[in-house]
Amino acid sequence: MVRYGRLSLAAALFVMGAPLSSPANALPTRTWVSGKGGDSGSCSLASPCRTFAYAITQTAAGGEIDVLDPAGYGALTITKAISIVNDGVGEAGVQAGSGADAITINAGTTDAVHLRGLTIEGAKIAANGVTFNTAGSLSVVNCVVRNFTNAGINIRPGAATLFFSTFNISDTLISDNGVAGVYVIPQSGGSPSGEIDRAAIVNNANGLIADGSYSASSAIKVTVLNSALANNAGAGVAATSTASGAGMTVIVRNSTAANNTYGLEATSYGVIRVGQTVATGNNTGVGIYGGTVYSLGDNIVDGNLAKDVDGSLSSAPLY
Amino acid sequence: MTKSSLLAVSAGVILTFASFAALASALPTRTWVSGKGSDSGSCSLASPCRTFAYAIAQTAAGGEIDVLDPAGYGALTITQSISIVNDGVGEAGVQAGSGGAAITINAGASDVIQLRGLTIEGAKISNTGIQYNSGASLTVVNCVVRNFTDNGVDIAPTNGAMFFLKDLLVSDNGAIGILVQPQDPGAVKGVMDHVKAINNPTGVKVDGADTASSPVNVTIVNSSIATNTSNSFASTGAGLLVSAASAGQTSVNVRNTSSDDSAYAFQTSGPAILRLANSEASGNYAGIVVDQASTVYSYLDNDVTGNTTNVSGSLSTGTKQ
Repeated sequence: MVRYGRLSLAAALFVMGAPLSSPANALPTRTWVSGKGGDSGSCSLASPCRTFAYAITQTAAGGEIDVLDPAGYGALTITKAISIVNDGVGEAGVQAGSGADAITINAGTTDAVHLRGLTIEGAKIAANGVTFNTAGSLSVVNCVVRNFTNAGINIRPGAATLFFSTFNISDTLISDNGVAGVYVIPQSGGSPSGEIDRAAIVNNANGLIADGSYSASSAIKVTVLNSALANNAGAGVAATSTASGAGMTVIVRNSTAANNTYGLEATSYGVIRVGQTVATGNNTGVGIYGGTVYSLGDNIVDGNLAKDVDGSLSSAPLY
Repeated sequence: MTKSSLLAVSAGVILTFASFAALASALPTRTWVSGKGSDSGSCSLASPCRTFAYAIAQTAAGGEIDVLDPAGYGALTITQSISIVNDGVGEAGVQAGSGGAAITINAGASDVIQLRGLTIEGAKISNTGIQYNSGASLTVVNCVVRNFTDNGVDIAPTNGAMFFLKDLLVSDNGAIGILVQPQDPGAVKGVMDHVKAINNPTGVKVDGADTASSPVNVTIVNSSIATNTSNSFASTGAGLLVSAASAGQTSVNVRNTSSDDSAYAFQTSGPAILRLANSEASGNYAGIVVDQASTVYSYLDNDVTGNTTNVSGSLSTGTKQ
């Protein structure tokens, strides 16, 4: 009786929220993976599975996959709302093969994807750590993303996600990646907005790149808070777009850009607004080359090797 | 001989602390749960229990339940002083069934409750993550509250209560990430430090509406409130909404906190007081929205730019000492 009652409620929910697929309904909301597990069955605590890729097929949309013990859990593609959580049991590793992406997100436009406590490692052969193609939201918490040949975190939503692509990266180390630590590069019509809080983005070719060149008539918004952008070969933060590309604002606040070639760099139509931030030890502290950098007048830009500010800062008001 | 003198000592203790219930004084002050445990006995380290709900019945008021290893430990209702602690052994999950609350707190007016290291997950089927109905104080540290269909944390005490939320992620809930709305005649004092409220329709709401004559005072520091409509072009939903029933009743102080990419970053309703310092709002439909009945003090050190409208209404200037 109870069972039938639940089923009819589920049926009603289906009518209201059509995109859910029917098998998800019967799956548990929590599954488990272990280095000692095997990829069969339902990934219960007593009988955990071995890989994220298998476990996600056994988990209800909106549910979570939890890590029991240290292991490598393999690359996966995410196509629904899910949480993958390692709450401090030891290394929960994700590696991918040559040229591949470790975690690919092709979820629905209202799906929330949450990654916590993972070590996502490219070993200098895999292309991207996390590639965000479509999702409602992505949160990356307390992770490490290193050694990818392209980007650590690659945010590239397209038209299907217009205005509905948000990302939050916090307490995460992103280092030693080949093109950018965080690469925000929406494709046609994509409009990502997101926040990077308490991140260390170090020793990449570039720290954060926000590039609107491929997404006409859309918008990029990135807020960088309480973060360190250091020792990157190119820019700590680079913002660029085109006349027909995405409008953009990159906020950098209460952060440090140190020992990069450019601490902050705004080219073409790129816009950066910076407050309570330190830029030091860079070749150029703030470089303005056709873009705009608004300063709130409360930054320290000093001790850079060639120039502290190359170009003219614009002022922004305080309230 | 030793045994009988111990008994005499414990009898003395019971007499000294007469207010303790006789049963509670016999319970241990520390119990244990494990994914491999079972719900019987006294939840000792050697023989742990399986669920929080069973373990709390075996734990002295004022004691603690500690987590041994990763597992889901189930929903529970708290009616006594208790600490529930996962100090980094792995996922200590709390899920509720369809429509319920994961953790309900109906404690006494002098009871203190601490939750640490828990992952409180709604899986898009449960209503509320933490429902705080009564107690002296609630401390939530290093927890995650996600995917509830209604509110993530609902602070609705009917008595004078305090709360402290630190290192707390509240995301992807269906209504409000953190709601502070005491019920008559309840009053609330609370602090949020290093709280992230993201991807909820409304991030944080502090509302005095249901307790017209009692004060509601909340301080929010070092926190971020973001993407709470998934759509900065929307015209409903707030990052932080402060609402008061009567003049001077509800005040919220915000410092070093960002509110980004929502409809209204910092919004007041009714005769509320909001003090805003060293904070940031951008990418919102409106940055600061001042109800004409309210007072919003700015300390002239906030970054409020890049919103469709930066400030709607009149700001008052606060004075730094």
